[in-house]
Amino acid sequence: MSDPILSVESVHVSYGRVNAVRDVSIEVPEGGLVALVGANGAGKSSVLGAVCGLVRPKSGAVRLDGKDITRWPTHRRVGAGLVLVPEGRQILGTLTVAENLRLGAHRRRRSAASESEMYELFPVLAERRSLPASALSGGEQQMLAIARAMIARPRVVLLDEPSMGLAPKMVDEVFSVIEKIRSTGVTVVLVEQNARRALRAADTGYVLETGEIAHSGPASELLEHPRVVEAYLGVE
Amino acid sequence: MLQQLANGVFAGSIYALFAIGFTLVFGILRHLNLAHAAIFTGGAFVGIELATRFDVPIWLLFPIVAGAGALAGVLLERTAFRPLSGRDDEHFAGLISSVAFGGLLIALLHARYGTEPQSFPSSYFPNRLYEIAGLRVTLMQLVTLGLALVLMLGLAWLVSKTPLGRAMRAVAENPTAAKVVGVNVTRVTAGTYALSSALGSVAGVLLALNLGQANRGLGASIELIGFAVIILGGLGSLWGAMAAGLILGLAEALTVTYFDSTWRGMVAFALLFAVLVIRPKGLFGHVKVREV
Amino acid sequence: MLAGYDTLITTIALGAILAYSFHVVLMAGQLSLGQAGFASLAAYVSTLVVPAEPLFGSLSPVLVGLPVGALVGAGAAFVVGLPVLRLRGVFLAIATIAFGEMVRVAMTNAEWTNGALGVRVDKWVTFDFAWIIVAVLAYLFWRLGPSRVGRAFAAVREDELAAGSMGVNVVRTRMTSFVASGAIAGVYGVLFAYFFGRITPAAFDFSLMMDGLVTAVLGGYLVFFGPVLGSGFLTVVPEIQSALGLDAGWVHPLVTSLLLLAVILFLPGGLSSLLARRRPAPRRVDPDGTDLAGLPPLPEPGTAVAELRALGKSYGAVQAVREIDLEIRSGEILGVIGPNGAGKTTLVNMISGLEPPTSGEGEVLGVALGSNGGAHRFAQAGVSRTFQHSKLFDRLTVLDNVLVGTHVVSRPTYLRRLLWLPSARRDERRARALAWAQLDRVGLAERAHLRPGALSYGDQRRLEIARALAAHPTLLILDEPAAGMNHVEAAELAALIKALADDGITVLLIEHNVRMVLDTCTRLVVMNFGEVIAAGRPREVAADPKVVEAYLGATETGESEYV
Repeated sequence: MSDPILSVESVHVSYGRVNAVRDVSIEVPEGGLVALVGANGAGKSSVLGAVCGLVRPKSGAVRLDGKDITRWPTHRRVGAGLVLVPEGRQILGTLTVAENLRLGAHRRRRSAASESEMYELFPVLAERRSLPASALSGGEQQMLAIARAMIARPRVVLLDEPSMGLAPKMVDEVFSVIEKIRSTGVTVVLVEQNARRALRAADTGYVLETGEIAHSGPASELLEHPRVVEAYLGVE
Repeated sequence: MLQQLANGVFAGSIYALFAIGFTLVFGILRHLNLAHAAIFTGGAFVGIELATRFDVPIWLLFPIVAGAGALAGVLLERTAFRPLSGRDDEHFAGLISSVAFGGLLIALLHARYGTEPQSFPSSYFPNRLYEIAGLRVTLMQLVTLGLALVLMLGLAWLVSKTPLGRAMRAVAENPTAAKVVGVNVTRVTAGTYALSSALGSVAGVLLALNLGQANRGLGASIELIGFAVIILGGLGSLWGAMAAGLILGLAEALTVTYFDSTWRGMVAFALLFAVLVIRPKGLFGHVKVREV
Repeated sequence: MLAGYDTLITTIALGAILAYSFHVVLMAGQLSLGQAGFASLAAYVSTLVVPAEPLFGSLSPVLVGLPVGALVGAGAAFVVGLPVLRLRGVFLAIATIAFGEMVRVAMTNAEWTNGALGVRVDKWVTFDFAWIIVAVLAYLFWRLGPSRVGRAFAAVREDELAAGSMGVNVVRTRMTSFVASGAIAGVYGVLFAYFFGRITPAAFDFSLMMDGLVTAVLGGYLVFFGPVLGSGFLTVVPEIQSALGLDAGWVHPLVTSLLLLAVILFLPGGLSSLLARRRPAPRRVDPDGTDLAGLPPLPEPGTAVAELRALGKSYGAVQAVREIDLEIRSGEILGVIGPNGAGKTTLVNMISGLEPPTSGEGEVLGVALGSNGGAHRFAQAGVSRTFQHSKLFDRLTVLDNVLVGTHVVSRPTYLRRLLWLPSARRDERRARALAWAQLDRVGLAERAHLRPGALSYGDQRRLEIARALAAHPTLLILDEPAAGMNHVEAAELAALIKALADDGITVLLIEHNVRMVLDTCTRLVVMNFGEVIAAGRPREVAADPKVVEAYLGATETGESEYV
């Protein structure tokens, strides 16, 4: 296997004196789809925060293409092609759909995809391009958040709970979009509470428990792993 | 009567220019920058210094003052606001630290210029008077109004059309989302202070030019007007701040005509109080109020 | 010995009194800056109504003026507070500044105030008199700290939502601090008048407000002697400079500004944080039988605790909760599960009075949902809760956090504490005993003296539960209490929840840990897209195909392990 495009090396994250994440290491191969699953409060979002620069780890390193980016600010990581689709979507409600997209291209003005490419990929957004983003439904907002990340032509996309609060049909659509993204060669890191869904889509999985990695391995094996099944999947 | 209205418009345009810088920082960063009045005063003194000592012509005066103001703004953000970011009492402490920064600035002006008011050279700007449709206006007033309009329109263009403006609006609405899409929030923050302070210092030099002189209390006299304008205009609404500035200028001119000049302050504050209590969004505001 | 320093010493006292009027609002987290207006009104009214000659030959005008001023200040604050206390943060600050300026302009223009020239009165205030007032205020604030209302102030400052959920009447607490601030400002105005012998409208201007605010913050508003420190510091520093021969007019403001900047940047608690000694670990109060007697009995098992009919909540176009019918009966442990975003938290927010429903109706422990009054009414009726994202009072100790929880089952103690009445001591002791009992229950007694920030994630959750239990709730709502806990901790928590139910507490548990829910709950409700998709006995619900699909996840054969 070639060198990973993204790696997290024994990262610790703490808020005040509270340890949120302890000694977490993750390797993401280029073009792969890695799922990070675990219960609420297990530290998934803290790990993502460390990866994209929203929180500074107490120790450990984050590398992109082998380059140490641990101390880079978020915008610089975005510039290097590491883009987050945040939990709760965080679209800008008073800006229009088109403006949200343009903002997504902010840091990579030269290499960015065009708005029309995004409308092709997400037809539902095309009809709504001049509406304020707050007028979209939850599923449409999620699509906008993903499109806003994709317009930057990222190399790695980090998706934080993309299925949260969505109806099953929308969840299906989100996952088919994730498949599509992946098929274009973009590396995907997926954080999900819906562990079964995420592990089915992924090649590799990491299971976080109280801030530590409890299990990891090929996703198909995790789907069968008795402890994982018992704690997170609830079958067999 | 009409003459009073015209005077109100000229005063109002300076209010608006002052307040628009104030409102920019509040609207985008939710910082109440109490050093803005000191920067305004500083702009006036720098302008006078340039004119008396270095004979800087008026067309060059404004850009230099704006540049100095921008520098002061960046310094202000670095010393009084950035160190507090992320702290529990960030917004609250920012009030105090900006008061301290403002006090520092005024103390330095005091050290440099003493207590005497400083004046522009008497011949610095031609004292020309025009009669337009029966109204008497000075050339200075016209320049003031023109410059204020150009700067305000320029700012409105910048905020609505440029990538920097889009980034500023993104930070205003949701700093996390802005960060996530790759906006350099640190730089946008510094840029906002630079712009705000540049506008404030130009407003200061304009008021000093109109009065012919400046003293250390110049900013304090207009500081409270700044509060009134941002609330009346709606927080963070640039057009609102402009309109509110003009309205306040007019209202004051009318009060002085019909009542007594000592009542002047009442209008602004009665309006402000009423608006806050009845319509906290402001007369023109649509920006969602984020609580501090 | 003090000769020649009279004025200086009195100035310190006056500055401290002004700062106390800011201190009392800052303690409660309110940024109110109208004090100059209250002081001005009080000074003018009292100099107008109080005769210039001593009453009965011995009562000096300032003695008569003080209560008048305090009343005027408090009254004005109440009247102004009614409309402006709907505002918060900077908006409240600006509205109150506007009020102060309106008073100034009005006083300049009124006839009876003699306009800008002001009013002359005799000087009556001596430095010892001023310091007696300071001592009285310091005493009042010293006794306020560890009282029920003092804790309510702190709770409102730290987190209004959590304070309301603990039964603190947030609106009334804010108003109390506002009115107290007006009264102290009124006292300041009167002292100012009889010290300087003259009042003008300009004496009570914007810069006075800033002085008061700066003094209060510089001294520190978390400690009762902060204002005295702040005022002493700001008054003495210029004197020292003069003594050193640094007399240029600009040196004073320069040094003061630099020091102020340094303090705000490097000493978040103000100067008093340098002096406040490390508190010893609080002394444990053991609950003995008599202490805890008098708590109201919990309802008989099976009594209806909550009834919801077609309850709904929408935010704009998003329907978070729709058409929910639910009955909660005393003694049950009702589990609510469902994917993130299913509307569980919105539902419990409505049940605990934090958010009114937008459709349907319901009643919890006799309180109708959506009725005016807010969360504290629900807390007083016996609803207590924890939050999905811990809402602890960060600047209070673990013990004090739990003490806030006792708010609804304890009596006001402040006035009695001022008089050192034994009954106040008893009541405080009882509240402490209750709090310690809860800390024991969740296993945090060892950490009572720490701040919540020093606790692990799991311990913070336990602290929230202890705080909620301190209210002796009939209905306890736990919103994802096991999030962030490991298996051992979660198992302990499950045991605790069962023990609570055995004590007669009704529990509503939102949780993702399905194993824990199935093991502890007596009934289960499953939500998705804001609706209840299944309800009933836990094992049966877990086997429901709809539930399996929506939440537990289907196996290839469509069966669930939990059958």
